[in-house]
Amino acid sequence: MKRKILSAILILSLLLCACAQGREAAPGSTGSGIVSSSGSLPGITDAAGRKITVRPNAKELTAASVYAVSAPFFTALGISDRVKAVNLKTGFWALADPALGAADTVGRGTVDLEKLAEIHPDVLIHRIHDEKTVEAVSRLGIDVICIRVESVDDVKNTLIMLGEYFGAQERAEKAIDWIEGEFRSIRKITDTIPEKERKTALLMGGRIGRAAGADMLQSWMIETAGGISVVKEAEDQSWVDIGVERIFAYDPDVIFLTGSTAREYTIEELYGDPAWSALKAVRNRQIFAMPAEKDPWDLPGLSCVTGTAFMLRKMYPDRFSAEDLEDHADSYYRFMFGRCFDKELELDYKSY
Amino acid sequence: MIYEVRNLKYAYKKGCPVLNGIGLSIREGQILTVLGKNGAGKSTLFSCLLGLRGSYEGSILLHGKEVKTLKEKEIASHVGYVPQAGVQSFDFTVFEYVLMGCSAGLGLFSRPGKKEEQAAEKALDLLGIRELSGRSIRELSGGERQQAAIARAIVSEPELVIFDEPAAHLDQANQMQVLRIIKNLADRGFAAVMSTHDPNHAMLLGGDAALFDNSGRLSAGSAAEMLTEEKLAAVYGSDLKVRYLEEFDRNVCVYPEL
Amino acid sequence: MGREGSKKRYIVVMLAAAAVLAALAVVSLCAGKYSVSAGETISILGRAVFHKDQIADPMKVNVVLGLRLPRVLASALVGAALSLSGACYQGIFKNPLVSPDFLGVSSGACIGAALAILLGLGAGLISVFAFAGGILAVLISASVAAAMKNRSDIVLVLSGIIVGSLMSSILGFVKFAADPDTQLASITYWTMGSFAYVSAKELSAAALVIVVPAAVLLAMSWWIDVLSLGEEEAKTLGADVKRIRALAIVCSTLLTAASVCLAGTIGWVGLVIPHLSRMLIGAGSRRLLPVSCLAGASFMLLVDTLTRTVGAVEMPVSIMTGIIGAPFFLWLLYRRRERML
Repeated sequence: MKRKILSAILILSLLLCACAQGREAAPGSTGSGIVSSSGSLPGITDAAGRKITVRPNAKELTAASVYAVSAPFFTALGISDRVKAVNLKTGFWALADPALGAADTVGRGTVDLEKLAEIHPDVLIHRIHDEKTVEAVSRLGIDVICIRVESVDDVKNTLIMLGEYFGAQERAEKAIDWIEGEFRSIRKITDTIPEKERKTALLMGGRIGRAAGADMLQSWMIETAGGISVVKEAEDQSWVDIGVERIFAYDPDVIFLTGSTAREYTIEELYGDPAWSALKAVRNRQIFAMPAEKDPWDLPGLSCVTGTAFMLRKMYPDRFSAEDLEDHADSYYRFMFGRCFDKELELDYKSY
Repeated sequence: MIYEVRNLKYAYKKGCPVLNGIGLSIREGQILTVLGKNGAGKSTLFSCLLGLRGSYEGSILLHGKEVKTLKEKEIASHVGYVPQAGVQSFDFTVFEYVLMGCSAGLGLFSRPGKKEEQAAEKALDLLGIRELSGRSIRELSGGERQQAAIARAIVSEPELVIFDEPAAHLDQANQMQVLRIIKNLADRGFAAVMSTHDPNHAMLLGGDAALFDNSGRLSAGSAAEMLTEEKLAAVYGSDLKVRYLEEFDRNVCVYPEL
Repeated sequence: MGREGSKKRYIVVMLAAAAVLAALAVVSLCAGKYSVSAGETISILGRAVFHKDQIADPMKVNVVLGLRLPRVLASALVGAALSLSGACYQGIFKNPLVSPDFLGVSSGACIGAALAILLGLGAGLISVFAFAGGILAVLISASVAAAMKNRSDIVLVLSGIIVGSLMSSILGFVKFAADPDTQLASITYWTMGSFAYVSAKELSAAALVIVVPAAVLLAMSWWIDVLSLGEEEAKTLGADVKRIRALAIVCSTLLTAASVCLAGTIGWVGLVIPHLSRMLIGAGSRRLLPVSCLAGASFMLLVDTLTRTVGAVEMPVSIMTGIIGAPFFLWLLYRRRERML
């Protein structure tokens, strides 16, 4: 009897497997970019490997998103006035980009489908790994573009892809030129740092013991700023819980902390903890939170440029002055918003 | 012959036999009262007869077939059972409750139909509790519940009904009513096996009696033969007395004092 | 009340429940933040049924047929499945306070889903993992009970509790390891339940897995009553207890697991609705199970409609079932207080 029941369960499970797998989207390549299918309309391939047709009226298409990461791209591409709904993490964006500030919202993280239908944008910009939403939104006849921003190449690809879709290719190219120019000038400085002077560093996440993986943008930023990123663990471009003991074993010269509002601890707590006093970074007061008061500099997006400049300033203050940092920050805000915010928003980045 | 029990042994724990080599036979139409102190093995014997204990030694033949090897349905179609009153989890109506007595005749995916419902009505009428049929089983008094349980046991018209302490927890009037019902059933041709710890019940019912001693053995015979002062005193203590009441022309069992 | 009267009552209750369900379905199809009038909704549905070209705004058609219809069908299906499974579990374990996930189905399914999310698997595989996790949890509960060499229900219930709390610890760990910005939201979807994203394909897959065990349970409803008298009493009435119980547990588990796959964990329904139905129609499973199905479907439909119309942001279903279910259950208990033991 038992055997019969077990096999019945197995058969049913297999049936379900078959049903489910039938509708599994082909994973495809994760590289995003532009593809032109023969003869028909040009299309793009998003970060989830899905093909999306570029329409002739690209310059009129409207967007919505619940994915906070997408906001800087709207600004960078100059299409904020075509954004119908957005998820802004800080009040800064609403002030800096009033068009985004005026946009509606269709949820934070998850999409309110009925609301989305009501505001009826042409496309939803969303994260990868959320097929349920992609499928449901497609049912409404609304395009979905999945973006992934875990490296500078991802930032550039996202700009190209969205630029193509929204007919903002020129602005996308300008943004990429600007990013590359910034990093060139940063590299000019870091190239002069001798190997033996290079500092080791890691970036700690929202929880003590959680660090940016070796393959994350944040670790790349440390390397680009002339540091040596010590974390070896990598988990598919995601945060890794390496634990406090690993951090002690790495004992980096500098520890950066994420600027995310989700961080559960403060610098003072780390400095005040007797156990942590064994760390070089604590003894030398070399723990720095990434600036995030108004505009987080360590979140994936164009601000990784300023984030990298900030790291450079903190690791090598003699080689990169406060004025240098200020220049880079000004350049970023001017490129994004056409103006600086140090005075009107009391955004005190000049003292970082 | 309905049951033929030979050298039945059963122990819950190794080394502590509850039933210690029991021999017993139950005939069609027989009334048998099983007597014994609390914990003597009456309920255990019944659960062995009903096929609830698979690991007994010796043999229990139901119409010549070993009980161990029979399916629940085969046993249930021959033997009705009135359990000791337990707690009911759900508010079944008396009718639904009684109807459950005909389950043995139903397949896994079938349910009672007209025929079974008529049988249940007949059983309710037999016990005179038709007016209870829409009441919840949990709202009944002890006596009413016992009647409902008896009705359930006879719905499928088995040859034998086993009553486990049917008079327990009942007041005197209800005890007598239950015994009257049992006697009535026997008159209608049902064989009845009943357990009790009160020898007076056996004396009232007559028929046959079986007496558990205090070491898991059972002796059986006619009520007159078994319910003697000597045999009862061996089980219930030497101060138990059996006296003849001339007025009612029967024996009673009494303790003269505390 | 006579038997004829109770039969009449059953018919009345079933008809009323079906009417309520139908009315709720229509209301639910018309209700939502995106406004489509009742007339338009009916025209869209009618044209879809008779394969005529739609004349309404395409977005309205998409919302009604693409979003709301699968949602309405899914919530009714899941409500019926959970209530049926709850009523059966309560009968089999002769305990009216048992809910369909007490052997660990739901928490097992959540772990399966969370694990798949953590591994970055696709939606289809997440469902498969959830289903397998739910079944696995019940198998573990059952084999823990078997290892105890004690067949009584209480051991099964206890091992269900043990496995359940083990599962919630594991789930806590999986959540701890999840990326708070992206994966956690998806995991929450599973732990709190939602019908928002149900698609026609998922619905039909789940319906396949739900319909067969539901039919089996309805067909064997008589024996569930017999089992509810207790193991030994059921045996003396001729019940093959082991077989019936195993079959009923397997079917109820399949119902719950398929429901979790479709819409995540949804609490309270499987506990409250069988109670309500017992109040309406009595304890006999032959009538209780169909009434529970209809009542559960209506309740779930009502709850789902509320989650997407009340408040600015859509609420997870479990929050709403809890808000409605807990006070309602309290009221039920209060009404029946003198019979509680």
